[in-house]
Amino acid sequence: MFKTFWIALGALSLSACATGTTNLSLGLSEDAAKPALLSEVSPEVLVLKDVKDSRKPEETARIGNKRNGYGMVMGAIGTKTAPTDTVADVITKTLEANGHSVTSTPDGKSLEVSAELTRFWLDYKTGFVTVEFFGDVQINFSLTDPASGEIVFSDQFKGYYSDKTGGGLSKTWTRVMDAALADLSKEISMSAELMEAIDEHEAAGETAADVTTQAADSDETGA
Amino acid sequence: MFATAAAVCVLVFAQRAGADDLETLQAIPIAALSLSVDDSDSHFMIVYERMGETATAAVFAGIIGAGINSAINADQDAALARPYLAAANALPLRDIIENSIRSTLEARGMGLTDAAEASHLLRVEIKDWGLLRNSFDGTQLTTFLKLHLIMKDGKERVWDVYQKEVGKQAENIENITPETLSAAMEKLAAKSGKRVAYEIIYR
Repeated sequence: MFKTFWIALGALSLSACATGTTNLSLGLSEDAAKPALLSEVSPEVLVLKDVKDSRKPEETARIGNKRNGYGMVMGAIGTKTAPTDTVADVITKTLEANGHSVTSTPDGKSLEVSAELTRFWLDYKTGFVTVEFFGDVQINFSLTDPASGEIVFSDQFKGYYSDKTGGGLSKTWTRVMDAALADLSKEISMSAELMEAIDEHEAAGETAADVTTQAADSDETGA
Repeated sequence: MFATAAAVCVLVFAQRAGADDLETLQAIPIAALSLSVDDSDSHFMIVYERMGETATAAVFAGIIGAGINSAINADQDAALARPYLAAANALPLRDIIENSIRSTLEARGMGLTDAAEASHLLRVEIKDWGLLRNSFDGTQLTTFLKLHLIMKDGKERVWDVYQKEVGKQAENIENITPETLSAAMEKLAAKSGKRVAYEIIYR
């Protein structure tokens, strides 16, 4: 009986890496955020307070499952930094790479960014001889004009990456999720609608400034 | 023997380094670009049962069992795809992608030219596309489209990458009609084309 116990304990010890939680260190690499469409409008100050976590309850404590060969969940894949913070960093780096400034302090004039994380998930499909890994990051992104309270832009952005390999552990998982974050950055910086919304706000600000200047000039002339 | 092993290692490393270099389109001058979109190797498919494939069959019945199980899953996916085949075959995916790349490049002042006059040749190969179950445990499917992008400078490849795009919406298969699939795929193909163009513009 003891023999069976020791064999079972030994098997459990050997599979510890599969049963525990592996926390990944994820983020956008230094050169991943690049200027694209968003760089074609005048630099703006954008306010990003925080990213709301709206993931499904069963996907908040982990970003993926470690499964055994039969498909049974044996452990969890987690992150060292909260996914909402990682996504906030991606948004900040992306906007900054496109020439804009990001602050967390509202000034009553600058467009305010609201972001809601709806999915941050790593999955994989086992093929006959290969494993395909999928990284999926989805956010709802909106811009609000604080002066009017109007939402001037709203869209869903999705960062996605898949890679077929012979297999892989934490290094592969990290690479796949980092690539999904880089894809999210590209999606944001290549959004024509987001570019137009920033441009229109900038143009409206300039018009308002012109009207104010003209009013001040006519006041001075009148005086 | 050691020399052979070392040579193989160097060769593998060199090939890997070369592949990495081709993953990003560098900021090279492109004087005139020619575009061709090829759908001869394009396959419409649904990946549902195959998404949940495990090694169970291999454990119980060895490699032959795994092969049989894999084939059964592929057959089940083919059966799921059957009601959508007519709509999928009628979809002008090639034209949508080509028009999207062309119009996005032209809007940015980058017109396309004939292959004979081009400094660079961009070849877009449409690979697998269709519907993919979006997680191992889930039941919802989303559209996907895989493109192989190859750009050549004369005879040398300067860009060689696979671009896989997935749709934003996910639905259970009973809520996906051939019409909604076509509409979602048209949208995804146009977006993929635009993405290819932006990759070139903002290289």
